[in-house]
Amino acid sequence: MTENRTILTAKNISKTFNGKVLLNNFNFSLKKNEIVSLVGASGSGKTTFMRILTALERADKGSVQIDQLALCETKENECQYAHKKQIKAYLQQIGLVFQDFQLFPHLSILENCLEAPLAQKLDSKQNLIQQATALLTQVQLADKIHVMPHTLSGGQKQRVAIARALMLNPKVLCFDEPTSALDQAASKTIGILLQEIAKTGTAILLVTHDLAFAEKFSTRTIDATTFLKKSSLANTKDISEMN
Amino acid sequence: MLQLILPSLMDGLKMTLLLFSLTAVLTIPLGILVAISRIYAPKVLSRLLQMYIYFMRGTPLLLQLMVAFFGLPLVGVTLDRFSAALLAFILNYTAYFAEIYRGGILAIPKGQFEAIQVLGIGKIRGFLRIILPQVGRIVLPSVGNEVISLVKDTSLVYVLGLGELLRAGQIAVNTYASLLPFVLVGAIYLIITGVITLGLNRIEKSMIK
Repeated sequence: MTENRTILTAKNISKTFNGKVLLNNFNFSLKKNEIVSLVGASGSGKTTFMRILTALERADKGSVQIDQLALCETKENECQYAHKKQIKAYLQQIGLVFQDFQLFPHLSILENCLEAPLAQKLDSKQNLIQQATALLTQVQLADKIHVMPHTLSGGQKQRVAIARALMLNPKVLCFDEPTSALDQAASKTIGILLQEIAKTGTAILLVTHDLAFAEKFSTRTIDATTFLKKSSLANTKDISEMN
Repeated sequence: MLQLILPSLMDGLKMTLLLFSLTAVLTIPLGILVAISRIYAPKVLSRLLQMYIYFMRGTPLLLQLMVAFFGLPLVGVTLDRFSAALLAFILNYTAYFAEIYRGGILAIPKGQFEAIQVLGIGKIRGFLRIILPQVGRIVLPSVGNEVISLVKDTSLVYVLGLGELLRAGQIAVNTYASLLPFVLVGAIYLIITGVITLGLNRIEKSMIK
């Protein structure tokens, strides 16, 4: 079934930082429509793993690919990254919503959504405005299209960041601590939105310490504290299975 | 007496405004280039620029003016008075602006650069459209300070015998044995500074939507 197709594969990912082992031969895969949560305490390496997937940090060892497009591969026991063009193509497949959103403060909500697709010349400006308007309506911000980010609440900023990432039609969407700045009601709204996005075929990876949120809205939850430092794909299980 | 004084003061004002506007127009963008190079260029170039900034900020502008006019001919470069003054001002103010911009660029959160990268906006477009406008907001008050200092620093070119506003006032004071020219010169500087301040306030308001 298409729904079970693996989109993202990360194999034997290792990363050491300042002598501290953050990731040790970690294996991970993400399927279409899935919402997977990496749950764990601060410093467990879960954010580092996500930053490796989004090419913000380099792995010491391992391979990462989305569909057939590789970001890095292990060759002769060394992690070799793809050339610039391929990394660019890879990055078009994956989106990231930052913990602190990182909206562009001098641009309106609509301009925030348009900047990346315009830069990548994905479509005409007119079509992109239509797409952005539709997405902002989907995330219940239709009335905020022309306002500046600083006038929005945390939950609204989060939804803008999601719409901005979705403008690039990524196959994989990563979230770094999506609920850290939100109250319970806003968290629930985001959770439901994530499920809606996953239904459209996008695979979602959440990095969070909010176990309740992860269990409620994910299809699979991985305990980062246990697995990132000594795991393989074979023994990656649901938290519920571990207990 | 006013009719006698004003024409010479206006000639001086022309020189002051010419030097001021040329320096401002050239050094504000040059400062950005030097700041970017200081941060992103290879270490050797960055070090060289650091030395240049150290010299420009570490020695008086008056000395730099004299070196540009009296010193450069010793190495075969002879400039007329105005060109020498302009060169010294450009080198001096570029160094100050570069450091202001560098501080502004470093104040932008790392996450903004990462967002540009993850969203595939591209380094150049990202810098011009995302980073630079934010830097502008941060540095505007400091740039404003420098621009106002520049208006007053133009009076230093008297050392090269250029007839700017203050020198014209000084001559008028000596000629007519009256302090009125100084009062007028002070008033003209205040008007220039006032106009610049109003302009900067407008820019600041337009930046904060």
